Amino acid sequence: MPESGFEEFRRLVLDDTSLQKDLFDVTDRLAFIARVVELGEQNEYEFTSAEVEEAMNAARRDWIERMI
Amino acid sequence: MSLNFEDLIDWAPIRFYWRGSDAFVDWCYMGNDRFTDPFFFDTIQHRLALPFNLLFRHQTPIEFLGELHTAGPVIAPTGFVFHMSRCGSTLVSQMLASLPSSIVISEAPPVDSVIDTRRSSSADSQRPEWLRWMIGALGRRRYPAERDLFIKFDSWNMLDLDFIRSVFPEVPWIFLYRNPVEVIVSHVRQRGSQTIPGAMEKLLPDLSLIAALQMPPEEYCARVLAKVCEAALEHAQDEKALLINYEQLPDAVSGSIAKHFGLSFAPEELDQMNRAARFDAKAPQMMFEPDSARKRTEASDAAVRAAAEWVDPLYKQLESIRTGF
Repeated sequence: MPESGFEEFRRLVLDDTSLQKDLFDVTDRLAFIARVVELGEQNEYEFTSAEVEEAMNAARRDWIERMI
Repeated sequence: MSLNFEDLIDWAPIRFYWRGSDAFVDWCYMGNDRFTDPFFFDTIQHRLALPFNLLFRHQTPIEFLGELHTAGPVIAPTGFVFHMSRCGSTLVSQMLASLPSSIVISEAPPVDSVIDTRRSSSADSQRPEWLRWMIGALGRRRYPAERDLFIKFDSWNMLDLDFIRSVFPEVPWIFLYRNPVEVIVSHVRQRGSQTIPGAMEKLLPDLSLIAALQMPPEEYCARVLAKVCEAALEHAQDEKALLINYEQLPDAVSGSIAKHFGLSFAPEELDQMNRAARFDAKAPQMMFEPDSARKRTEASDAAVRAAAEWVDPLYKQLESIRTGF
């Protein structure tokens, strides 16, 4: 039974330094998205690469808007 | 979620904001990066280009900064840098930042936001603590060589000096200034946010937006610079103050500024700083070229008039105090 979706996984990563270390240095965007989905699956979270990509786009928009 | 000092040692607070009536802080993973870019914002922009930092940022109540402040090694500020803008302050901060022993926080938005929050909230009594915590969080020692912490404030923070000094009465500070015409020419060429009419009303509260927009840009710049220089003059006799003219740079960094901040540098550190001084402080990929004469030559009549009417008298007073004549 999956733990849940991407938002829940995001909270797990922020609470788990070993998961953070796994993702810190992945600089290529596509490789990063693939690794996030893979780690999500390994920890029984269910979400797609499209959801991760949309979350990244939303974060970028949010940051730009705050800087304007 | 339970965070501790070690969990966040490689993270930096990058934004102060409100969620309803609660003050919060956004964090960014720094990896091995130090704040060596000309401005805090430059470093953060580089970090936020990494996918991880877009997706995963801690967000904590500001009180968490207080917990960090007591949980691990925090370097007390060594010196504060105030300035009138476009006057060599970035050269000073870049020279200091070239040393592994220095943490240099240059015009950090979260610091300015905490200082400014008194104007928009009822959190006045907590503000001193928040400023101490924010600067403490930015001054956490991440590498054994780190020994000194320098904060370069935004130019308009000179108007907040009373508050900043009340929080850090023990910290020596400098005020950097430059021939006003040269500064005005620089701002007219590329406006700083403080010299865009309406962008920072707190600087000239008695001036309406319409009046500001109708004014020649040189005059608006000059009035803003005058406000900053007036604040510096009011505090120029402060025992922790040192006035520095652009003309004294870069030698003053290892000379009078170092002495004022209680610093002494080893020969290799002096070499390191002198190497940094050879580059353009705001575009370190380019060599530095003196531009005072060029700026004075290209100054418009409007720039010369605005400087003479609004800033030159203050500049002369600053010079008089600095030189004793």
